[in-house]
Amino acid sequence: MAVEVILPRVDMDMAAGKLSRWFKEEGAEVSQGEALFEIETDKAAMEVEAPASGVLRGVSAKPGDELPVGTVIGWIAAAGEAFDPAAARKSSPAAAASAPAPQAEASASAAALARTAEPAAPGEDVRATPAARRKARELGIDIATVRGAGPHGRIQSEDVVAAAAAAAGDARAAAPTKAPVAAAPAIPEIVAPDVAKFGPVETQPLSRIQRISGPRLHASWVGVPHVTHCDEADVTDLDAFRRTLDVAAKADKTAPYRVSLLPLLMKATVAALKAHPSFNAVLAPGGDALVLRRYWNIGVAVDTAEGLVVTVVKDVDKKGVLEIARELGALSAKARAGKLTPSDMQGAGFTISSLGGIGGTSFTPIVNAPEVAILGVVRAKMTPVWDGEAFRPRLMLPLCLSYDHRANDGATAARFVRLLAETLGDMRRALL
Amino acid sequence: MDEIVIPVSTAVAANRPPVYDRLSVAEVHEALRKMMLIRRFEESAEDAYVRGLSYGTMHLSIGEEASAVGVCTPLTDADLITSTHRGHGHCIAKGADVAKMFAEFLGKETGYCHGRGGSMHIADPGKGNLGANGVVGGGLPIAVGAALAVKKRKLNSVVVCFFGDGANNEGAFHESLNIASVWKLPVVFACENNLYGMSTSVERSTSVKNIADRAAAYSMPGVTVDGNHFAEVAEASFQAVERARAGHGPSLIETKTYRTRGHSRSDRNRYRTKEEIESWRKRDPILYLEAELQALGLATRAEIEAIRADVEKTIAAGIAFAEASPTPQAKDLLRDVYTV
Amino acid sequence: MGAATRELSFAQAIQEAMAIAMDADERVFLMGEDIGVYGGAFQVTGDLVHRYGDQRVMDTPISELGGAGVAVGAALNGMRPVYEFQFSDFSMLASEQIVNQAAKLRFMLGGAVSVPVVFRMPSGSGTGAAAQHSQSLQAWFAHIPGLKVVEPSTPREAKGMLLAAIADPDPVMIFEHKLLYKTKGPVPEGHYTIALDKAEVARPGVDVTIAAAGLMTVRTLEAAKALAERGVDAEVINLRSLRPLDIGAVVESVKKTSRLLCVYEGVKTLGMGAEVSAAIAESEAFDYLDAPIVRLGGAEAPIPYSPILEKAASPQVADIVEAASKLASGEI
Repeated sequence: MAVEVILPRVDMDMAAGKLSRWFKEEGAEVSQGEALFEIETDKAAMEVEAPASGVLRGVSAKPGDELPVGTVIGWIAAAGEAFDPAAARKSSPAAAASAPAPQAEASASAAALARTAEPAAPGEDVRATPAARRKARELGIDIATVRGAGPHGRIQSEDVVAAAAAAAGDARAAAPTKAPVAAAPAIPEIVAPDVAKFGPVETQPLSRIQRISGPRLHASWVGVPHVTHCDEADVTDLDAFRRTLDVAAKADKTAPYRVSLLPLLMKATVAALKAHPSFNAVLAPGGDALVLRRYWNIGVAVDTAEGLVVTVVKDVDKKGVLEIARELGALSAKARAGKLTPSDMQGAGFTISSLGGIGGTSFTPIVNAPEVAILGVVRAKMTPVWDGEAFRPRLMLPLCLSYDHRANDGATAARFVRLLAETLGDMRRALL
Repeated sequence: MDEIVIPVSTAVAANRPPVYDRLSVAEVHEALRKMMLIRRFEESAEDAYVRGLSYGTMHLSIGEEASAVGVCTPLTDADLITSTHRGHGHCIAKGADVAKMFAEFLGKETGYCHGRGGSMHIADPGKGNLGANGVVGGGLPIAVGAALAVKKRKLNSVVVCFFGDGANNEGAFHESLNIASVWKLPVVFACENNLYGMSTSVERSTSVKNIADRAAAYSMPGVTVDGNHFAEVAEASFQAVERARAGHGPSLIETKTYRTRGHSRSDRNRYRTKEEIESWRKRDPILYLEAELQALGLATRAEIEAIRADVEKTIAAGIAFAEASPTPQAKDLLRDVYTV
Repeated sequence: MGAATRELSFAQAIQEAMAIAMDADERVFLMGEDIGVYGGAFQVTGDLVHRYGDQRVMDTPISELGGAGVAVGAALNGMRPVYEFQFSDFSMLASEQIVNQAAKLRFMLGGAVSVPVVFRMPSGSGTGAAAQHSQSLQAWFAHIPGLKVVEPSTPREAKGMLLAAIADPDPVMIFEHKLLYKTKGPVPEGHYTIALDKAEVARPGVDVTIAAAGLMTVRTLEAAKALAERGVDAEVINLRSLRPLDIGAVVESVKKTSRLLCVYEGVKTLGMGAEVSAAIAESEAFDYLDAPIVRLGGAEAPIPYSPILEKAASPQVADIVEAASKLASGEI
């Protein structure tokens, strides 16, 4: 009995995926669990394993095909079985088994949209009130993309306001109320003129990572009220400790690895987060509560050839520095090889973005919404520091915390960063 | 009850009103029955109103029964009448079913107008009644138009246009008489002069002493009769109707009568004296006719009482019918705004 | 605000205006059917004939066309007549004098004359008077340039607007709803006028604008109380005049509320609501509309006699509450 090979759903909100390559050809023998083909989604490329052992038959999709989740793209027939594609199709289960939904990290704005009406199909007349059209002009929204909740699917002013809020990734765009919803302000689109007029140009397509992360960064930037609080930590002693660990790690017989400041920074961060849990939280839909996480997953931005990717180290509070260092190494390797799984990239409560390897004095990282804070770190620098009697040379690490001002205010942020700096200044504090 | 003095001598034959030569005994009894029916109908309608059982207002013609019945006596179902806001008597004189009139009063679906018209707009086209009219003088042009159609269709019908002394000062009166005269139409203009428009007396409002005098201005015969004497009214009507039917054109009959009730229920009778009202009440047309018929041997007391009893039964049945009838439904509000 | 006020009925307030006008100006006199000894069909003129005599309070024959024509002639020749139609429906008989003569003489004569006549009349349905005694014809006359058409809603307005109308050099038609005659309200003593070309915000609100006049203003204010209990804050615009129509007041209101309901007893089609809707749609308020404009008008039928049908043919308080609720809640 031939077994279906289907294009699986791997992300919760995935409706379609692109088959990027087959690892086996038509007629090849496959073993259950072996990598059979690769698909690309919004978030990552992913290997899909063979569901059964046998012979791959009836391959019906080629690399580059974009297909709906659940599409049958091949069969695995028993060895020696005469395979009849038509018969196989008839006996296929009515519904393809869907992949288990990954941990819900759906954007709160999509969940909060109470609308069920569909936007008008392209080319159809748009039914919208004059007030709605005026609001759409003000907010720079294409009225045809708005879902109308009025009679006959009519778009009313409040629908436009809600659509604008949702588009900005505002988690508080809940059911409409009489008073206007606090929506993101209208952003006039910046349309570049034809720059070729002024001289020779070369067009470089954005990478997949850039294309996917671009709109999300834009939404974070526009939807989150950012403040960046800067401080510096005295890591002279900490870095000395790190060096000893790193020397030992490099010399490891079984699997050498490196220890950067990052794992230590992550442990110090967890200590500070435990004292200030409001930085390890998300705003509840409706905007009237903070959902505090009682787990400590830290996202780390990793530089790859295609761009910055955030990988997640789970349960940092439970792991030792060396374990974290090894895990960071493994994640980096996966990232560079393009082999990160969705699980590798989901579940962070707080992100650290380190440009320390490159340099700089400070920067203003963009909060990775729906998280409420991100720590930017640049290169530590030997700096004269007054200790009350004289200037001493100390290794100072600039810390730049960008945070969502709705979740925390300036004083709280200053205390959080100060605590982090003091912990880095004396790591014994992390034991408290 | 006051004794009615009949102005006829014992030489009855010589002074016997000529109309009784035109009418059979049965027809005479029918005339009395109708007058009684009108009286009892009006009294019942008034009773229902003061008890709060009927809606709107009403204009009673108590005291004017001889005028209505007398004018209608020569008419058949093929002849037409138009009437006024004080038209219950005309309606009944022209053969209306009092049950449907009561039902109309109570705003019921079974009324002549299915509850849509009320007191002032009752019509019975099947019996040649083109309807009462709420606008003084409103019926005059309508009557003339109906007469024009009669002439074109070469029918043998006559149109009687009832109107009051008030209407005779309406522009419509003058225009209507003029056209009817010029086109020689079969109209009998029957003016019931009950001496008051609403509160304004004929004396204060009309430039002629007798409205019938105006007929000359429109080249038609005009005659004034005692509106409370059935025989006089009926005779004048017969002559006018015969003239019209013979194709000789319109006439104007003025019946001088009196309404013993106010213009409508809200009339406080400030414009006339109690003495005046009382003096007319003594000239009650029904009692007058009863006495006259008995004197002429055209009816016995017993026959008169039998007619009265029959009228009571008819009235009672009519009221019962009306009370048991269904009310209209709001969902039928727009029915009959158009024919289709 | 110097004058004292006291409670008068709508009818009494009108009578007081007439007395004040006749005291002040000997050119002013009254004409109508049964307005003398009878006191007027709705007892508006009352005992004025005893105070001013039957040459200043004149009973006419039942001749609306003739009587109205006499009023026009007197007005042309230096008098200030106030002519009462016993029912607004009877003004139809005088249409020729009102529409062809009074409304047009000044224009046709190039401004050489004016016609300072007032035609006042009981109007509207709710008394069982049936089709020919219950009409609301104000929109019809408001269609005629040269006429002014007004509808007071309170005793205070009835007096002030009549005094303004008598002083006005052009023909003014005043439609007084029959059901208002016995209503009572505060009326200032002495002479005052209320402008014939300005609407008032009878009740401020933010959720929906309701435009009305005369009895419908009274019903709408009643409805507004029920609406407030349902959480709908209605702004009631008392139009007062149909010609000239103060559409500016409605525009300002709609810009605030985004929703408009027109309430009028006249037949819905081609009535007040038709004009107000169109005027709003043409105005700057158009871009503020967040729902269709709703008209709650009289039925497309003559006014029936039976009370159930009569009520169904005219907007009642419950109808206003329902229409405004649906409009405010986005069901329409």
